[in-house]
Amino acid sequence: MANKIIGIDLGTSNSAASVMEAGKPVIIPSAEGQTVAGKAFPSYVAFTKDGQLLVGEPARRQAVTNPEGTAFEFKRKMGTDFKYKLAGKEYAPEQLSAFLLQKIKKDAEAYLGQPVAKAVITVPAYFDDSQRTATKNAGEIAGLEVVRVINEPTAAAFAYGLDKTGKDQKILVFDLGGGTLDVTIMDFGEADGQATFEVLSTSGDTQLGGKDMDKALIDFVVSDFKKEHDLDLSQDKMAMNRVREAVEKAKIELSTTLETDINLPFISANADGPKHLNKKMTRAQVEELVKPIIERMRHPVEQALSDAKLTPANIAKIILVGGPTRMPVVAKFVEEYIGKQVERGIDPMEAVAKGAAVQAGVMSGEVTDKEILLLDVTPLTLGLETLGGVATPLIERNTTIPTSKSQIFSTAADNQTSVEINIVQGERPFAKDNKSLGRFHLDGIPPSPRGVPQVEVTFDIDANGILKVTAKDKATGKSQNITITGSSSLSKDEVERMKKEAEMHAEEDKKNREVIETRNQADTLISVSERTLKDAGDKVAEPDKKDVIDKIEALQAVKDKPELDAIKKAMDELSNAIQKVGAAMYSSSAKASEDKQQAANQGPVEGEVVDEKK
Amino acid sequence: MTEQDELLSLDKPELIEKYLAAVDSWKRAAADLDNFKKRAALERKELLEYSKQMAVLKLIPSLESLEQVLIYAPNDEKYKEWLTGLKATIMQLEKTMEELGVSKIKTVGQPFDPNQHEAVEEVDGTPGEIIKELQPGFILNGKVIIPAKVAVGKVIKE
Repeated sequence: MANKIIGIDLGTSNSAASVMEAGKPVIIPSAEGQTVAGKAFPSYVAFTKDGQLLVGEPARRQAVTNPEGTAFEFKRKMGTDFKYKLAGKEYAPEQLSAFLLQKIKKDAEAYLGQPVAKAVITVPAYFDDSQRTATKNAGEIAGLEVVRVINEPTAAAFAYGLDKTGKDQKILVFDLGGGTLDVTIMDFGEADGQATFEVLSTSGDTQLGGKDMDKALIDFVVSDFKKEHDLDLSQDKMAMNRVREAVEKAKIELSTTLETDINLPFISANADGPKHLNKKMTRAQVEELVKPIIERMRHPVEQALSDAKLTPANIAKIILVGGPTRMPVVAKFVEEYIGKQVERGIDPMEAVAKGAAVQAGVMSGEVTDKEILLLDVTPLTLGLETLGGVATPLIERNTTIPTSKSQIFSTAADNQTSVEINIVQGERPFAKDNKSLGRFHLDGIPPSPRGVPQVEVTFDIDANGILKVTAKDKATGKSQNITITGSSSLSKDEVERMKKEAEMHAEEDKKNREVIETRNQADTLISVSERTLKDAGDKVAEPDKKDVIDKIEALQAVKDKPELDAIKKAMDELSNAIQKVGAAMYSSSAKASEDKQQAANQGPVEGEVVDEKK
Repeated sequence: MTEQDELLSLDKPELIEKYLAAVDSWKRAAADLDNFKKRAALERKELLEYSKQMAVLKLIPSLESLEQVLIYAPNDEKYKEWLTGLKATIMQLEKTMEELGVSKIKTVGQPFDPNQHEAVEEVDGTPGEIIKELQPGFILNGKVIIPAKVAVGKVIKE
């Protein structure tokens, strides 16, 4: 097996790595795993006082106690002569990046269970040659062959598959990180069958990010508390820690809801006793608070557009990158400015790493593997028509083929000697609303009471989508079958239309189905009641018998009307009447009649094949 | 039936080659399924761990709030029994978490270890030792799920 190439998003505050697995990019977890708010690989490197090297999460956790031994945001110094002094030794920014890449390499190897020697690494679009070379060198130092350095916004576009649209289009990538904003406008096109991408302009703000928004929210909560209780929480590290976490949680909740509570009991105390922080926060409130920060994003977007000599109308697609863009207010700002919806479906924090993995997959040949076994699925549910026109599914839609399934059905009427199998395709609960693919008869079933014969129906779809339906009478072994070649010949539009119709009619279909099911139960009850009366003979008093006959007639009169409540009521009355008869039978000759009653109650085995239409 | 016609037109070596290829891809498919099953079993185990982790993570803020009560509790004979009850409640909750495989990370008096602890500030005290716990940390089956947030000792110069 060819060795995997991994994709790495080497970020300013956090890094991430991804790899293609079964044709899809997946994020590689760090060995420490993700902690509550912790990212996979914080971009931190440290040497402890006793000379131990720490990388990632552990390095970040000790930064406060070891500022002179800890380095972070070294990406900002890539390609410069700047040297970091850590524990008495000098390190170039690419050396520090290499420590980080080494850790990513090691954790990726542990995850994949195989050595990793090659990587695709992303850089900001504005990185110049020396910064790109430094990034490449960092990889080499870490023992990774950097097969390609690609732009972060390009990678994000890959993650969304925008390189495969085959259209010439301008894309705006809005990358808001913890502390930086990068706006990039790119031109995606195609030349000689090759995808091409050109960076038209970049703009941004190196001191603007999610941290500013968090600070605005925390400050608001703290000052609000101060106003109410005259207590300054900002002096209390423990309280601030709780506030920070609660605000973070509220911010995330408000991305999906409109209102939430910040509830921190016993946050502090003064001479009057304990103080509690309990505050309602609305999305509108949060949006108002971060508005000044959002406003600062307007200029970089304007700048990028004017540098590219474009207007918002020229932008075909918008891609959001970075955790803070998960806030609805950020997406709303960009959408309103450009006048288009942003692309959705990929976690903005993972888009760059995943796009790098897609590129890595292309380079390792994984993405266009020579012989991929394409597994097909059935686009629509296949089933058969049963009593009352109900479509009973046998093979659900989206089942991978080849596959086969069988189920046992029975007859709907006494002495029925033939059943009709009507094969239907579609999502609606009634056969008539679905497409009938074919029908056939199985006859020669020995006469017996309804529900007794066992007819095994098998649906078998081969790898080419050819459906073979077989019906077999278990008693005689007699069988019939039909082969349908066009089961998946529906056009894509047809499939979509049928799915939509199913959704549209879901409610109405459910009601109809309930009526049919009740009607089937009514039929069973009538037939059981009639048999019980016959078996009872003269053991039951005439008035009781008469009562049952009346109730049967009453039920028969309403059962075919679409009035669910009336049918249910008539059924209840008949059950009560027949129970009286049953009780009378018990008291006269308990044992003998009980056996018969049980035989009569033996319902249909699993379902009933629709009665043959005469 | 075109596939059948095609096979009939082949000579023996070609047929053998085709047969071997078919058997090979069948074996691969079977192996894929087997591997998938193993992986799915592993993932089920991970999912269980993950759901425990989620449950614990959601419970922790409440535990913290309860512990906060102790910090600000009145030092009054009148409330002594109430406090005892509260302490017992906290112990109850901690025991439940222990049963879930969660243990609390030791902090005060321990040497600072960035694999388990996160330093939030430095305070006067024995250098490198944890002086105060700002937020409890937890280990679930040997894995740190929340690092403890602590204040680390340092000789503060006058």
